[in-house]
Formats: sequence, C-alpha cells, structure tokens
Amino acid sequence: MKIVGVCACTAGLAHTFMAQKKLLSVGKERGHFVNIETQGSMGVENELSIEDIKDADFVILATDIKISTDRFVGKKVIKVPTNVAIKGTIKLYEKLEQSI
Amino acid sequence: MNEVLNEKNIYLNLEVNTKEEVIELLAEELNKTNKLINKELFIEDVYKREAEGITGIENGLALPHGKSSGVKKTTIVVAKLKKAIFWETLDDSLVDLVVLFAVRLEDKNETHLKLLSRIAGNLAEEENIEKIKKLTNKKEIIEILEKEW
Repeated sequence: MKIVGVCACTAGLAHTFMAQKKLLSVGKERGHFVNIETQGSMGVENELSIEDIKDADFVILATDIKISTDRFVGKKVIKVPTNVAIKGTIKLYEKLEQSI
Repeated sequence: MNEVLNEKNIYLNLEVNTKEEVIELLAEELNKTNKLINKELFIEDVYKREAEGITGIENGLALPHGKSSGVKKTTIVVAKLKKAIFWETLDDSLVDLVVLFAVRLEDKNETHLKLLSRIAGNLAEEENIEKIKKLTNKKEIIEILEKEW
C-alpha cells in the first residue's frame, strides 16, 4: 500500500520523530511505501506533496496536537496519538491492511 | 567534538532510586558543566513536559525533555542506570536507560535540532536500545544514537 502520514507532538522534539521512524521502518518491513511529514521544532519537514496524498491508500495522523487536515478530505484517515504509533506500530498497520 | 552529545555526558552506571532523583542529578551535572542558566527553571520545565504526557517509552527507555529558558547550551545526557526504577512507560517496563534532552528555548540551530530528531528516531528501535544497554564503550553508544536513518 501507499501510505502517507503526519507526526506531531507537544514539544516537537522526541515523540514526533520516534513515531516517524517507527512508521517508516515497520511500514517498509511490511512492504508498504511510506512517506511521513513531521511538524516539530524545525517546523514542517518532509512535506507531503499533493501527488503523495492523491496516490495514498491511507493517511496516518500520529498527532498529540491539533493540525490542519484540509489536505486529507476524502481520504481514508486514521488518527492516533504518537504513543500508539511508537508502541503499537505493528497493530496499527495490521488494522490498515485488514480494512483495505 | 560534538557539543550536543559527547562522552562527558554519558553515565554508564548511575545509582539512583527514583525518577525525581535522576532528573535532579542529571540537571546538576548539566549545571556543573555550564549548560544551564537556571537549574530550577530547567527542572520545572522538564516536569511541565512530564505533566503533558508520559515520557517513558518501552524496553526500559525514558526520554524526558525540557525546552527551557533555563538552558544555555542544548545538550543530551545519557544515563544507564545500575538498577531499573519506576517511571511511567508505554509497556509498563521499569526504566534503566534515561536520555535527557536539555534544549534552549530559542534554539533554531538546524544542526542541533536535526541531531535531536535523529537520536529520538534511533531510540524508537528496540534493537538500538538493546545494543546501548550492552555497550560500555561511550563512543559506540554515540555512534548508535547518531546513526543516519
């Protein structure tokens, strides 16, 4: 599957990037193409393009703070806290894989 | 030498009994090495972050952090604990590896922030945690933490 996502936590220092790394590595292991934008202390990084979003089968929002989601209207979106993306990464992907 | 994470800020066998004790001790070490402007303020900001959500992760790792005007120089401290202590974690594990981020409030230094994000990412991987726990060579610990991904 093609999966895009956004990670953002309260301080923008640790959880954002832990979640990003976990989503990328576990997603790759399971044969998905994963692209994750981060909104942390450096601002927006690895920003998702319109094409990335258009082509994606799923959008994962691993966020502890409010972010703008206008870009994802009409997409299949799953929203979880960053902690779930860090600790329950495999379960999260299993859920996506089952619901496709 | 890297100013954010270097061998001087790695403690291999720290003897503490509580979370409060670790934070106080590591803050004092940062203070002694002139990384803080105001130790009390830094500790207060670390606890403010603790109150927003748990910083214990899994596999015995905790990643407390303070982005604080009490910090003079952005620094990372790594402490391997002699015995595991109670800390709120995602998997209910006890904590025996504490990585404390002390970050200047106004730090816009791309190199610093990139390094922090890379280290956080590496700490998300269980195999890296296991390696760090086994290692006693500080250089090798730094290599694992700073690995590109």
